[in-house]
Amino acid sequence: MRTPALLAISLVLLSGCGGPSQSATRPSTLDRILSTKVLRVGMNPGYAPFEMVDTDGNLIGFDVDVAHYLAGQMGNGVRVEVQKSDWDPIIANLNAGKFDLIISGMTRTPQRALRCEFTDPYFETGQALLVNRAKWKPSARLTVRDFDQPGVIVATKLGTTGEIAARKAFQKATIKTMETESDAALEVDAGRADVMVYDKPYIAIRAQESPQRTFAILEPFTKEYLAIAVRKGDTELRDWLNLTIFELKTSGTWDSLYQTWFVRMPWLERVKRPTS
Amino acid sequence: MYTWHWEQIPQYFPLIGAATLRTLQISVVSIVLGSLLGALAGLMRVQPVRPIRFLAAAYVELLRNIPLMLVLYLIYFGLGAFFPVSPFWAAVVGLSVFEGAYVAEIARAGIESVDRGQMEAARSLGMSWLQSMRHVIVPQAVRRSLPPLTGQFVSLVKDSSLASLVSYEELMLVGRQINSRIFSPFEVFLTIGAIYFALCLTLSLLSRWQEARLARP
Repeated sequence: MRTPALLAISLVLLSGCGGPSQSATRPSTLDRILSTKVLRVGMNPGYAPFEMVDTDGNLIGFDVDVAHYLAGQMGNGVRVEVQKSDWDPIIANLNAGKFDLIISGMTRTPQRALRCEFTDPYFETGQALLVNRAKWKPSARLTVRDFDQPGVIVATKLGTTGEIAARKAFQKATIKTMETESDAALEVDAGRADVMVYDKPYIAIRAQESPQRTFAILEPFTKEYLAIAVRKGDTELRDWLNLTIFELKTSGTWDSLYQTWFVRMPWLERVKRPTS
Repeated sequence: MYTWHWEQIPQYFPLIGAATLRTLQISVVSIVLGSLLGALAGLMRVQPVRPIRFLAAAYVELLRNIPLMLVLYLIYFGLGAFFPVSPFWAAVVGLSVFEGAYVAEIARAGIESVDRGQMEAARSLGMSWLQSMRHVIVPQAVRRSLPPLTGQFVSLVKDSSLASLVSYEELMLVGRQINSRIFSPFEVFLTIGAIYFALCLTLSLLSRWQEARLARP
């Protein structure tokens, strides 16, 4: 194993500085993608309907389709290679070079932007609420403020904008951070939490799946913009992505993706679901 | 290049302090419950009635051959579907039951290390099995078990970090929450690591002192 690895490394080094067409600087990430014909995308599966695993073990979702759209626009037979990552180290993994960009339902925030660069948003969303039916009666007047009381338990996923929004919105309630979004939804389902704070599309789907035990308050109480993350300094890649996201949104592709993943939802049968 | 941001840490000392107390709390309660459970299972494994021996062996083997994370998930998410389980009790029950299996093996080894002749001698003096255990075997076994028990207790303190997976806000979970706010993994986790180290080292030193005390005639 040692020799081929060394060989590969020296080849990479050689190609980096020796080729006549290369400039003196390191080849950009975009050049590297085009020459290796592999677009490595970092994702944290489990966030329906953006990235999730179907019953055959394939990764499917809105973001997966966006990744394939981007590879298609690069042409030259560039293919997508998805690298799974846990959520809290996903930016660290990007910076460590494990993948070229992150498309994983990531909200762009000023704090995250200190660690990586973001493109223009490709999706607009916000935080919504999944509520336990046994503890709260559905009502049109119920808002996020009604839940900020001592004794109310608010579940969310560790390290997400859901956690940030929950900590901002709830001073008196107790916040419970879970490993995954489905763990947090399960807390509400089982009555161990009153309410879950999370991104609107996910909450909408969870409420549909468990209508006897939960209901949703979908009017978002924060505005959030999902964007693609690239490494700091990868401005060439970022500029290309911005232009291509604009194309995605204006060409009708975005609308048909939205129809597939959020409106018609034919994928529901392809995904493992707990029966409820 | 990694830029250090140690100045970000002190503002979180109150949170980290409270989390340290919670780590101590589940560790101490689980050490006590796990030791009781382990001592009981250890005794069950050496007493003469075969079905009871089998029962204890089944418990020990089952728990020693599955991951602790799975035990915690079974209790919190599994049992939690039938009746309310708080993160605290899920952590304590999971840790105690898991560590009890290891303590049982330590207890059994301790008891079996005492020469068989001593039990026979005690019995021939007219003591019952229980009396011989209590007055002759167990006092020696406890002394011999202390070093491996200490190792087990130190493991338990470290294993308590898995309680973060069932949302119990102990050191590890609070560390991850803080890191998700300031994105400074080295600063946060080195701080958390120093606290675990201090806790475990104190535990080791305490038990070494206790060992020396018991070793005195």
